[in-house]
Amino acid sequence: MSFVRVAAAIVVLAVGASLPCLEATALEKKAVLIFAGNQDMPNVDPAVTPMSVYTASALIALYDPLFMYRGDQMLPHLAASATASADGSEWTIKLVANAKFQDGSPVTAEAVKYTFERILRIKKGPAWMWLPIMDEKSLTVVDPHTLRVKLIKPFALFDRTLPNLLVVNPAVVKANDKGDDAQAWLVAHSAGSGPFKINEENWRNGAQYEFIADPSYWKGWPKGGHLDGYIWKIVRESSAQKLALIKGEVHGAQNISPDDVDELRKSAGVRVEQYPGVSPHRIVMHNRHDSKYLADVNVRKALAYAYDYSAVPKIYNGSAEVSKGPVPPALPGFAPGLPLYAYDLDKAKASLAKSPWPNGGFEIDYIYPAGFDIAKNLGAILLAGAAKLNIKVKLTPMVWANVLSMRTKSETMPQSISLWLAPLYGDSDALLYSQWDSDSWGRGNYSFYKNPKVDELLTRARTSLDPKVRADLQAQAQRLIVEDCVDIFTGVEKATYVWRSNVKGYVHTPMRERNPLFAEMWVE
Amino acid sequence: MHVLRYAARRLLSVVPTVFGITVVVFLLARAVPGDPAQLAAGEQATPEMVEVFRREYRLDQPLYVQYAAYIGGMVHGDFGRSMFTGRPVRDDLASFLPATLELTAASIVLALVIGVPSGVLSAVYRNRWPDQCARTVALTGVSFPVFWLAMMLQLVLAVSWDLLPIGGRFPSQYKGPRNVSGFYTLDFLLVGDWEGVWVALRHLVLPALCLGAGAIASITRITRTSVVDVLGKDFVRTARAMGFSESVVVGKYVLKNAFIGTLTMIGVALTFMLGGSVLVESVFDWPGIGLYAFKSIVQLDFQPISAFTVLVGVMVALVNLGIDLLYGVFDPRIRH
Repeated sequence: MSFVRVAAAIVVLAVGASLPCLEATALEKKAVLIFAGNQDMPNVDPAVTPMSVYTASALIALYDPLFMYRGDQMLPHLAASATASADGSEWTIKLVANAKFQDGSPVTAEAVKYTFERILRIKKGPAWMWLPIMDEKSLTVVDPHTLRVKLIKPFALFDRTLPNLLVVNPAVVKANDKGDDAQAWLVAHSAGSGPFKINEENWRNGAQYEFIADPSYWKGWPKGGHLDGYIWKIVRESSAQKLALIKGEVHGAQNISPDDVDELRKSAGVRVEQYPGVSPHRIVMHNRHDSKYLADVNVRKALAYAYDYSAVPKIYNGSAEVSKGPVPPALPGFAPGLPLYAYDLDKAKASLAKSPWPNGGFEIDYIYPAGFDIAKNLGAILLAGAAKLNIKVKLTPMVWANVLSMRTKSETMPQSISLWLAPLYGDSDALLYSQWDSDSWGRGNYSFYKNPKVDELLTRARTSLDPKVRADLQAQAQRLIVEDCVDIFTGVEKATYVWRSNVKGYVHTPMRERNPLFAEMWVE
Repeated sequence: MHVLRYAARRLLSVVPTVFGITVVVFLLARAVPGDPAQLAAGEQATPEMVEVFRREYRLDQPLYVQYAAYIGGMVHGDFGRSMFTGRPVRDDLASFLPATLELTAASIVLALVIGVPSGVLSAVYRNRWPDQCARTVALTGVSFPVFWLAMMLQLVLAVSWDLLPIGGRFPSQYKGPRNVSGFYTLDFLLVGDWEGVWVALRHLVLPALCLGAGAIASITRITRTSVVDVLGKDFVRTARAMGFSESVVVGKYVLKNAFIGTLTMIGVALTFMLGGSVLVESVFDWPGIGLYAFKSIVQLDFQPISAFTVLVGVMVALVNLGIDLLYGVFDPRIRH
């Protein structure tokens, strides 16, 4: 009979645990937005964490940049202006006079200089943007609100990189410097002038991070309403994000799988927002591979013509558009009217006929991140098309860390890989230079493509201060990249956000497509 | 005294085991293809940025120097820093390990509370409907993929019926416990916050059920088999002949004798749960050590991988020792 008693106790406990509890009474009734991000943000040091990842949303909450991407624009923020000399080698940055750090001290040119120097000294995260063009002698404080930057070599797009410079408070950093430039301390503390502060009581490693609004934020808060804070809650699985949204446990989420987005569209109380993306996918073909097949432009063209582009949006359940070239339309410098490849088997066969392998009969590898079905399916389109040319495509999943290393050298780069790459500053140059200039071999240019004319056009574009001239040069380079059929441009995934219907104020900013500007949002 | 000497000897034997683990993990981690410095430095890193990581993590030095530094640090409780997050691995372990231990403890308690009575019931009512039910549930428990089971439980219990939270250790806006042990339930208990205990327990139910599903099934089956075996022994017939009630016979004499098998199964389940809870932690966003290790492996982040492996090795050794000692408690014939 004791068993019966035990069983009864279990039932009572189970039922008891299932009863809705009184936890709501313990919740603070503040306007706090809970965002289900599926990525962790374990380090919020702006000199260590690159702005390309999800941590960027935390960084722009805690720190202010010199310029701020908002919507389609790049607006002055801590800086009032940045003007270049005629050749783009010397820049003068004027700061606004009223900006203050969270401790009340003013944001000065000295602080901006210190921030630059710290990044160049640490040589991590965002340093790649400035290391090739700046050194310790580049920076001169002209007056408390003016900084002069003399670049090692001219760079007309220097101001475009400034939204990635998040200014730190030198006094706070120095006070916590234990010989490491305060890197250990800034992992989970902040020293900025941003609209939010870290709530240390609710900063739970690997679980969630709470940001609380700084009431004395120097730029002020929108009059219509604003958040008292927001919580970045890590919800890793798309299905769990979906359920949390439906149940109302979170107010917003991103990176939800296309299937789940479809379901959410039908759910009450949530709204799905989609915007053109800026992170294109492409199938990188190794233009110098020892096997020679993909080194032949005719083979590359044959594969590009055999690729059924109309299937790409279906793979994303409609949450993607077919690529319109190397650069997505949402990015300044996009060149319309390029001679793109469309699915055409006759042209594919004609191209292959011009190669040393007119009847195919060879195999190429396509490597994609293990467990990533979209990348696999994008490869399956290639497989199906290539099969019609008697070319076998071997789809191989691989732990991505291994591929990241393999692709840095021509000798180890596979024949083809699946790749997404986001632009890290607001100009086509961010994609073009890093992916098709021979300077970037193994650092974005994984095709190991080299066309001296493209190199020359991109170099001239980088030193051209006139946006129209620059766009023209970039358009010429894009045309050559397409003509050389360096890679297969497949599609651009739309930026998808799902919000509870009471969430207001989201401003989609293409250059921060995965980083909501929480300072402008509120919950009704 | 015998037991203490035995335990001390077993504990000492853990030292060479751990040393062996460190050598194997150290060499394996460096044998896998890929350049961790390049990975940590990032997509667009310049060669000099990659060098910074190589120098900072001693990857530019001979293997024996790296190993000596690694062991030297570990002896002092310093497991190094993660290459990707810059955080001390010791701090990461301190925040992730208690979460996994709490979940594991809850799962094993659940497995015992459900599995043992089900197994006994199944054996006592052999080949009758309670037995059929228990066996069906046990079979289902081992057959369901954890991932699917987790999503179904979330869908039904958390969303459709709104009985339990979907995931996490705590409601997002709730002022969490002061971190003393890292076990939320215990930390709330320590300050007498009963509501906190209740909330933490509710968050434990679904992940513990998922993680423990396999163990519930295994314990049910092994308990049934053992109890059936013991029920046929002479001393059981004697006890019944002496007029003891069936509940006393089964509860006091049969179960104690049949528990050795169950104990072995608990040991197996515990070692599995400590290292293999990645899926459950992922679906329920449980910030545990399994996910941490998984992420580190994918990123070739040597320091956390090494620390995790050593830690799990030590924990498995301790669990095995504990189980061995418990054998003696249930069966005095097995005294060491």
